[in-house]
Amino acid sequence: MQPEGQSERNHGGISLPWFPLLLTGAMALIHHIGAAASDMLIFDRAKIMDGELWRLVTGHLVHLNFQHLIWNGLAYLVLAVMARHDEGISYTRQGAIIFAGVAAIDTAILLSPTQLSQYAGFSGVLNALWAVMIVEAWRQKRSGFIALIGFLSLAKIVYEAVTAETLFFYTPWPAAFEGHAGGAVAGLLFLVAERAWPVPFSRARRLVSRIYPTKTVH
Amino acid sequence: MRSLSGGFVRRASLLPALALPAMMMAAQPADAAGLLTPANSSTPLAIEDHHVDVLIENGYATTTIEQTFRNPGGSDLEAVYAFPVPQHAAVGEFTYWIDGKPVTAEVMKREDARTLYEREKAADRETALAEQEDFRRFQMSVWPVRANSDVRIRMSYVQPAKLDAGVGRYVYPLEEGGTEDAAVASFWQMKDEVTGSFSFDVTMRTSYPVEALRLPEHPDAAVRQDADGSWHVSIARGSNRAEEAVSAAAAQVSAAALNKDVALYWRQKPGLAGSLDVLTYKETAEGTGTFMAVLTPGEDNATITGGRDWTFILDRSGSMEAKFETLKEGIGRTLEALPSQDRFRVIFFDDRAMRMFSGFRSATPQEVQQTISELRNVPIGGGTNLYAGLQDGLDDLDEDRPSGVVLITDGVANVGPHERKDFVDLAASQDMRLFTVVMGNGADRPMLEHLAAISGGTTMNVSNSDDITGRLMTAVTRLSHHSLSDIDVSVDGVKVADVTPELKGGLYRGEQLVVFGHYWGSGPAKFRVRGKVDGKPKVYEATLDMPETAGLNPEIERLWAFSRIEDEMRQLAVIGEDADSEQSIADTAIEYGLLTPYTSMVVVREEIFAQEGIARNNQQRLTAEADARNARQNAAPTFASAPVGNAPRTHIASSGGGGGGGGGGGGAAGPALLLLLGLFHLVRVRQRAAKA
Repeated sequence: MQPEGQSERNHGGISLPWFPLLLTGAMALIHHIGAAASDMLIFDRAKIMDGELWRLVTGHLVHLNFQHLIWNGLAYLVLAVMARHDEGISYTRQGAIIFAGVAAIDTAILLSPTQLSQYAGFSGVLNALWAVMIVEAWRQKRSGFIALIGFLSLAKIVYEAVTAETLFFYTPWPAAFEGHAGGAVAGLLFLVAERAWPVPFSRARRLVSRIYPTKTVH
Repeated sequence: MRSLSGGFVRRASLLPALALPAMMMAAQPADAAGLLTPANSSTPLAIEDHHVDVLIENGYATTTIEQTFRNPGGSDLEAVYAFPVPQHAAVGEFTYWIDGKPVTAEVMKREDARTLYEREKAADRETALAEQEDFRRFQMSVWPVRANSDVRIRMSYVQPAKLDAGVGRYVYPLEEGGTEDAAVASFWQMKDEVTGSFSFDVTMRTSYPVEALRLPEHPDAAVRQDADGSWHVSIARGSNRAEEAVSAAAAQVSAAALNKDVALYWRQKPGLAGSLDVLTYKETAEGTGTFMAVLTPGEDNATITGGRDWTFILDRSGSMEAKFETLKEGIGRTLEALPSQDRFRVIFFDDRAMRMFSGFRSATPQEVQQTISELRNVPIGGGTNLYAGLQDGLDDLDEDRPSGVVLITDGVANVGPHERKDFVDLAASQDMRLFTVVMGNGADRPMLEHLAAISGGTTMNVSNSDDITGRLMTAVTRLSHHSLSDIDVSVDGVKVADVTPELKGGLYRGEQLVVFGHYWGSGPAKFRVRGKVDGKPKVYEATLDMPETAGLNPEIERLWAFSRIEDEMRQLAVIGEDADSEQSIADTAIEYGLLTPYTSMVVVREEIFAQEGIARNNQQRLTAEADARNARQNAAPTFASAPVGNAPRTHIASSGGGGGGGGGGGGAAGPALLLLLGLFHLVRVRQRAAKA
């Protein structure tokens, strides 16, 4: 399959990762403002049920401490740039994957039997993007290494589900299995939907590209 | 019958919602706290100055109150000073200025102290006496208050400063008890205006970061945080103290009326891990050490689901008159918050108990609205037959459903059985969780706390100055999850004994467990807190280093002793008078310098202390404590701490108005994802190179 972001690919120039930078900047800003912003924006089941629906989106941008923000922000920047430059996944398409990830994770948390009351962090969404990257790579070259990376990624999610801890890293809250698994499933479903209904996806991307054309700096 | 295992579902904010009206209703004008009244006159002396200094450090608070009274009359007087003391506060200092110099009281057996005081008074020599009448009545007598002269006194007490869902609360009590009991009311005669100056200063230094601090009912308080993380609060009124701290808002507050509790809250930074923290004091390597261990569990207990039965027992006696409308409104809001699978009933008591309707009603919107409508017509009046109310509330509970009983009162039983043993037997006769909401400073807090504890429930004290929303949110966090019950604390590695308090009741979501004990030796000590959560065993453990010597926190010796005395007092209340127990309490109190119903504090002239052969033990202890406080200002914290589990502490900011749920969740991409990304990149580069 031809990556959808082919038209946006950089040919010899350096493209500013504006979209990831903006999003990471928003996360940093929220963290910098502190508890006042976090309290207003965090994913909070009870408050969402009371009508504070923005938390469904903003909760993914709230982080629990500086380390949490750094790891997620760094991983996202690397992931986003690699996705675009190595796999040809445009930022427009990444935006759609992120949107799908947010929707799937929110649904998973709200329906989960664990009744998680609060959720914070961008890592679940990263799993959506990561799942798409792995599948795209597998589609281009069916390599045992890619399969191994996919297996290790799955093992990471299973480990978090079993131990409620993040691998190699301590977070103030237990790892939310719903977030990471929901994100990964969202990535896979996104690819399935994209393949099943290519026309609307293509139209949507063209529309977005017209509104926000990609800039390239040479 | 199944019992409510430690808490309620996330929407069932019953205790807090009931506390809400309790707090709202408490917003009535209340009479004052301490006053100095001539023994043979009804005219109180004038309060010239009233200065309060509070130091809140890791785990405990020290309050020092200094007051100056003036006798405007033309003859010498004996004065009696009554003052309220917070529950669990250990009064350790009473100082009276003689010839312009402070003389600290020594602790003696009650009768001996009274005899000495009367003898000195008869000899017309300066003397003062502090006595505890019962759980809430503390009284100081001073002789003489010379005509047209001042009397200066100081007292101090220490108390644990616990957190609840990441929020600490300190209340300086100034209000009367709010009871219709005439005998008790006379105690609270008012003289609530300071003619000179009033100040209330707080310094807070804790090892854990505090992100906010506020006094909701005192907008004139100046709050600042220093670069070292410490917080300072200052309320100043009157002529000569810290005028700059008085904001414009203070101008709206009555000049210097001491008729409102000062409630202070501080909020820890969220996201902190559950921990076990231990403070120690050990004077010599060979001697006995004292420790205070504080367990702050992470939020790792499951939520409670399923339908429950609620019984609300409401005090509608005469003392509730000004508050009852608010209480009814609060009950309505509470019922509206119940999930529809729950059931409820309402019982009132005055001279007798009365059920509002027979049986239980389902918490459906229709049933709730009907009940709210019927509540409007409930009258008030009469005495306080607490026993009848509780007895009726414990009858006819459904054995097949979890049951929670919520008791709200502001007074002391004055009709029907009123011995504590009667209540204890009654509460122990049923398998249910009793939650008590204690309003104001006049209710029988020790008994209500004890009743809640033996049922595995919990107690909430409500001051008129409490932040309604804050208390509501704090309490909500308790009731949504299973609690830790059957708690047992053990320590391996060093010899430990005399652990106190007796652990009864449950540890609810957001609550801290505080225990004191003695230890010998030094080195690594493994603390284990065992209990049961929903019937399953649960252990929190952490290894901490117990120092060979530690001199910075001598106050915890008094806290240990006071906790021990509270245990014995609870036992005494159940078994009745017991000479051995009373002697044991007196011995402990004299050794550690504490005011109790069996020991008093007496001040005489220094030469009389010497002449009588009274050792100045308490003076030495207070001097050591003052030195330690000064040393702590410049010393690194001696707070040993270790994480327990991985879950974060319950925090008010993560509790939500509706409470509950399965706790917080997050998780970071972390190094693992970056490693995978790096591996992925290498594979893709190699693949492309091979393709090229």
